[in-house]
Amino acid sequence: MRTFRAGAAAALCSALYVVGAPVAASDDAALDLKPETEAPAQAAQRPALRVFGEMAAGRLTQRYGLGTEDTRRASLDLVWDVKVGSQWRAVLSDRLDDIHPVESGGRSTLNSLREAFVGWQGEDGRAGVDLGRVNYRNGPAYGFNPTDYFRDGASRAVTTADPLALRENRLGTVMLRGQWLWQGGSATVALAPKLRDGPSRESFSIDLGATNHADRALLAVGLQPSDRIGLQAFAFHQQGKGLQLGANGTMLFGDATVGFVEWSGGRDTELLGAALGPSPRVISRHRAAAGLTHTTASKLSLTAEWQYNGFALDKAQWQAAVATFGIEAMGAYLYEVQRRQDTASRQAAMLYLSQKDAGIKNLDLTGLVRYNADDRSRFLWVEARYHFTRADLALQWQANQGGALTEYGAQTGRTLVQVLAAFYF
Amino acid sequence: MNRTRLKLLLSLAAALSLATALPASAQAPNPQALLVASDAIRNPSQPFKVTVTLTEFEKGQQVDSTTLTSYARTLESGGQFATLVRFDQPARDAGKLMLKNGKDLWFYDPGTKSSVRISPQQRLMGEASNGDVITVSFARDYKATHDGEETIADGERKQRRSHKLLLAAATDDATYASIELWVDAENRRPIKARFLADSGRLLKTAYYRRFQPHLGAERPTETVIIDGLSPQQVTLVRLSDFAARNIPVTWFQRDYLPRFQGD
Repeated sequence: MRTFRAGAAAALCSALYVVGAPVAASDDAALDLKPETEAPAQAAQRPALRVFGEMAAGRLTQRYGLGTEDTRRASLDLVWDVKVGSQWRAVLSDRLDDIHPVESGGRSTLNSLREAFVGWQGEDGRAGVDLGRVNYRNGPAYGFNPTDYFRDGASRAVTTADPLALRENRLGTVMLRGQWLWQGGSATVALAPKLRDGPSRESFSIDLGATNHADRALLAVGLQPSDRIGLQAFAFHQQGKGLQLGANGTMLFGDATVGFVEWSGGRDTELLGAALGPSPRVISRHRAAAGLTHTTASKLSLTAEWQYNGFALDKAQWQAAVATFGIEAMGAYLYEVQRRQDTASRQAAMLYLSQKDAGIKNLDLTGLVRYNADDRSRFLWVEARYHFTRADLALQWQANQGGALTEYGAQTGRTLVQVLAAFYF
Repeated sequence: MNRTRLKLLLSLAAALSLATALPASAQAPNPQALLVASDAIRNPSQPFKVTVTLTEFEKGQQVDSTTLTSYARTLESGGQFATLVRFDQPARDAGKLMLKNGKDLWFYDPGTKSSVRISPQQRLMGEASNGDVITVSFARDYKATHDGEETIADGERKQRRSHKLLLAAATDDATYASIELWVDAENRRPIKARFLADSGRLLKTAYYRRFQPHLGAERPTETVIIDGLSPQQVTLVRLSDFAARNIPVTWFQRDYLPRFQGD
């Protein structure tokens, strides 16, 4: 019987070889699939205008007997990026947020003129110059970027806890920026003058003082020693503070893991002094971040990041400051931390998880844990987001956890649950 | 008489050169040369741009559609085939960029102004990775061996006599551990490919079809990609609007991405 079957199978194989192998059944169905629309006969023009709107509503539970509070936000975000001729470009990027409840001393409506600049580049792209308010960002880490020298004061409206999404709200800095590229490297010079003394909370202020509060200059050199390693080195000078040097690198390990490291060292004001006093001390310290992002075949990406900030309080200094000034005064310290986009503790850690197509197509799950390694308090944030063709629908939950006198445990907000809808036009 | 002899010699020379290029069933084909010829059909030799429309199906239903503009060229150093992909649709992703230059992979989001190095595994999560099946130089990154001739059904269910090539990753830049590639014995067109992981697991199957004249050759304008693990997941990749472009090499590095505007 077995011989007969083997013989029959061999004969069948021979026959198939002669007449040709048919398409496998599963492949056969795939070859019949028809898309709903035709492929474009002509390439799409790069859209000059990108607009999206966002609405969020949530429920905030609070500490200190403040009960619960409803929250809501509406945002309109637009970017107009137009090419003028083959070598010129004009960019206008703006965002309008209306946020409730209003922070003490703040405005419910905040307009952020993020970018407004003209750019020129040579025909071969090797040289380029930009002039105006430019959002110039550096640093490969996810949660803390010591080599992102223009981050100070750049977040006018904080609308999300997701560090990646938060960058979308960031104000640029008025600067003259020149860049030269060569194969395997680049050099960039940015000169940003002081235009105002400090930030404005007026709703429709262009808020030049938020990011142009001192004369600053940055030289950045990028090098690519191999296709698995990228390096950048920086020299940054700020009037009234002094020089900071920095470097960052990204490395590819195997086919699924990316490593990144950032370091910056030099002169800056100590955080507590800047938060509480009019003339903070300028000291020399280091900031650093290092981490890994690993991606599995099941579309799960996990990033673990360690953060160090020599300008922040360590455990003993935090306890001493709480004892001296009281926990309420530490609110000003945490506000200064947020303004500078620094870390509040000497050492911190972050975990960031992202699962694409979680169980069903177009459903993404994202999670974040920020951990204060000095007082062991933590911030948790989770989001489930479903993508429709022109809209996203998301459910978010976040919590501040820790002891009463800790960074996250002292926050007024305990938990926040909110739904969010984003529309892309 | 001399003129006649000269004509004969020229005809002989032409015939010989043609014979070396022809698929010779009588002589064993050079598998690497077949691969080079097949690559040349998929990829124009000059820098070019092309519109890529990716339509995803699950269980026979269309579930997603993405439109990209791909800029591609061979770099002078090392013959690397580099691509810069700009997302055009859906609207939420418009303007985002994906750079691939060997293992140097970057994702740039104009919203956050951040260039993020990504791993090949991360890239495979996104639809742009299906572009690998189309615009990638196999000959540079894989060593081909000939695995005989087969008559197989192509993407339009026509029987084709083909050379079956086994491609083994030969450089660090190779995305897949190995590939089985069927090349049309008559005209060197790629017919079908199976992309395999290190473990031998089938990652995807691709059928190249709808050959049309673009940039000097008959090139596949449609590729049907069937997921190896879930055959019900199918991506239809359509290429349109091929155009030769003078694309500078400077475009293919991280620090250029914030200045990229395309055309």
